[in-house]
Amino acid sequence: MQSSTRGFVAVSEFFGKVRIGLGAVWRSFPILPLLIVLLAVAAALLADFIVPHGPDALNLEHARQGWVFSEGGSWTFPLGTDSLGRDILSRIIKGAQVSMAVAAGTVLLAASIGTTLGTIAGYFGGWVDTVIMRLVDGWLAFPAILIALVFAVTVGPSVTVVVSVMALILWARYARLIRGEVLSLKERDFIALARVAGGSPLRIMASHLLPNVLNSVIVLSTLQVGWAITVEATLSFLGAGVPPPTPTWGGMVAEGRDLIRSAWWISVFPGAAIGLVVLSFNLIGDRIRDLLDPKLRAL
Amino acid sequence: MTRVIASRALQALVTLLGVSVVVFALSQSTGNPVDVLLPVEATPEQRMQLIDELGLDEPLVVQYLTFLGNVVQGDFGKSIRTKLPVLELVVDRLGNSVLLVSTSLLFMLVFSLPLGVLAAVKRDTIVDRIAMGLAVLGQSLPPFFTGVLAIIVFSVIWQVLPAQGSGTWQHLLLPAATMGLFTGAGITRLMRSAMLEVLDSEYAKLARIKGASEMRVVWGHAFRNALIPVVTFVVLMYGVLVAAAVTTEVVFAWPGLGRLAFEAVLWRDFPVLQAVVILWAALIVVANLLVDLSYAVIDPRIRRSV
Repeated sequence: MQSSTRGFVAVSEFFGKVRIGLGAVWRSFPILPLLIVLLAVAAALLADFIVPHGPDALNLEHARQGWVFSEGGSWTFPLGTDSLGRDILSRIIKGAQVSMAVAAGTVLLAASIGTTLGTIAGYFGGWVDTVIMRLVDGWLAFPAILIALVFAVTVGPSVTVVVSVMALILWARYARLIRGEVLSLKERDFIALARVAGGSPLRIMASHLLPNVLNSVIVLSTLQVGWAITVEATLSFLGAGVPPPTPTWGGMVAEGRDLIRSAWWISVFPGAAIGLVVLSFNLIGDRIRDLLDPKLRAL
Repeated sequence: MTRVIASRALQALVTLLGVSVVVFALSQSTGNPVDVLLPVEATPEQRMQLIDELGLDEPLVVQYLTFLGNVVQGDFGKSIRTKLPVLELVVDRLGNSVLLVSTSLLFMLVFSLPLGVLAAVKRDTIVDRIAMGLAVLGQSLPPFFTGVLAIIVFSVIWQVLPAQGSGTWQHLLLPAATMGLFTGAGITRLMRSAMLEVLDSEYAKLARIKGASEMRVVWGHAFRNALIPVVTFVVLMYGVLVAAAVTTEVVFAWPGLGRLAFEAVLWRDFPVLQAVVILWAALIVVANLLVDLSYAVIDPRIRRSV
């Protein structure tokens, strides 16, 4: 316990914003969500070593076997099997890989694009700002999921397509937030001084503005991970995500959809995995935002 | 005022043109339509004839303008799967989607807004905790999963509501509630924070000092002002609403636009998908336009800044 608390306080002091006692931090930080997220990340990283069965291994004589506490269930398949006899637990563990990788990739890509454009818009102002912000407004109101479906049909679904489309949707939120911050930052003395000292715009943006907006980028990113997992699952559910046979949580819910009367576990367990992980990320994101930057509460 | 309307309408038009360019560009990457439409044993003459008919030998710009002209006239071509005119298919489903979305909005209005107000008024009490807990949960569960759960509970275990299909008001309840839970959760949270801010404002204090009852302060003074950021948020949420509608319609086999789009993906029926995307984008852009303009009418401060 001590070491993780120490780590957290070190992070807090690094950002220099948290001024509450150790005990308060420890009591108020959501332990259970943190454990669930760690579990999901571990599952994604170690999937190939810890799965009890091959995620794609067919086992037709055990097809649609219930979970361990139902009639005919056994510890061999703790969460039951799907209609091809594949082990649900193993597929959920393997499915964590796609969820985590896509979420991480999307958030990183969107944060880089959005922060860059937001900084440029805020710093230069004028028509550059107008063009970028009109684009942002247009994007935010756009039915992103439909564009993703169009891409899936025309280009064909793959991890790259899913990550690109999702980042394409998400960058606008970063751009809007960062632009607002840069607008107020650039009026501050240290930016004026940097300009007087002959700093080029590129240098001012990269080494003076960027470090000051990083905090907001981190807060927004933790809040967007849950969104990214949900959208990936939605795309997979609709058959426009990472294509089979790779197991995805959304795809698994879709596979069991027609069988919920007779074999509810095929859909419900992967769905519960999505719900739990997204809920955990959202709770942690809320908490990190409150600790680091209460003024972002409206996000 | 006329200038404001004109500039907003122009922006909306530009956005729509942007959408049409994206869709047209993507349609170019679906492969050569001649290969799709003609059998493999077609003669070179037949191919040339079709290319000529479809205008495929024209420059891209001309092809785009033809496409745009057809779309404006409501001609979206024919469905690859059913061979019916796409417009017929789409119009057929449009009403159902509108019905579903408006019922879920009603759900939101009846449950989410009052819950958010209640949470703000009873701040830090058990009521607030429960309301916020529900809201976080609602935001975290994707509609396709809550839909599955709802079917298991209400149709399989209790057998009180139909699981799939449409036609009666009972069919509408589960999908509308599923959608409303997801979209309404964000509204509840936002309503709460907006209310907290407004209840702390000078005019709310003044109203209290003047002896207005707390009921009157909350509903008469605070509520209406807190609604402004919430309405803005609802507009920004159209994208979310569409996504929720697509998955909800798929889960409950609701014959709306979302399910049509899903079927089009399954069958790789590009003309249908294209029409749904353009139509939906148009609906969103027009709704945005109307909301923006209504702001300008309601609030003079905004009128000057648009």
